[in-house]
Amino acid sequence: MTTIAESLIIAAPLYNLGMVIAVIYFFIQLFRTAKQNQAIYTLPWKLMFTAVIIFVIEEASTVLRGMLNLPFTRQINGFFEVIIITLFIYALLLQREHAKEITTMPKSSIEEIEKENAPIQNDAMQEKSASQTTPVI
Amino acid sequence: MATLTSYDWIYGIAQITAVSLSIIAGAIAISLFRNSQTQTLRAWNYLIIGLILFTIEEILGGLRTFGVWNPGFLTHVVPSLILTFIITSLVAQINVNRGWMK
Repeated sequence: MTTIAESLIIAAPLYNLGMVIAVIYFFIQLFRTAKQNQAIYTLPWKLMFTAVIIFVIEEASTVLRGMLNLPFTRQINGFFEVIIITLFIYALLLQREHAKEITTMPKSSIEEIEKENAPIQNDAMQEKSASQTTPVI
Repeated sequence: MATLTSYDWIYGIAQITAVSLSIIAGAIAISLFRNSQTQTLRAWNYLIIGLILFTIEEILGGLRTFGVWNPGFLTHVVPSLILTFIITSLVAQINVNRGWMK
């Protein structure tokens, strides 16, 4: 059991960094899809992304501490965590306010906004619909 | 008994602040959980679980900093679980954005 624990202590920061690369990739995909649909509320996700970047810096310092035996990096992690948790709380509060607004908004208004900001399906389809006056079945 | 430097005081206060704020964040996350049962906010369910795990991580880190208990490998395993839930929430939100989960 001790051997597994020691292995995890050595390997965990490294595979955490690998998973963070996946997280950053998915965040980029998220912001790309949100660009096409302006109705999507992305500010909390941007704050989460900032928190993830700070976590990357913290994990990188943890890995360097293990590899290079730098004593000072451990004492910096606490400050990173305060910044991360502050960003989390702000994102949560923003999302809670937005969720309250959505639940109090009439359904017809939500449908109108979604209709106006529907994602672009296909450039070819758009050009086709713009050039034709009657719909093609 | 070793005397604490100013930096030790500041770092200790920062650690206690992080633990307290993480507990508050966990409480806010649980209150948001009730409002996130709609399809469009389904991604936040996974994110909320990740935030609760982050609270646990902060508490474990605080216990280790003040020498109460050394959680050992847990402080490295819990972030992996947090990242797993963040990835899940991101995938869910991307699917919502594309209109695949309405």
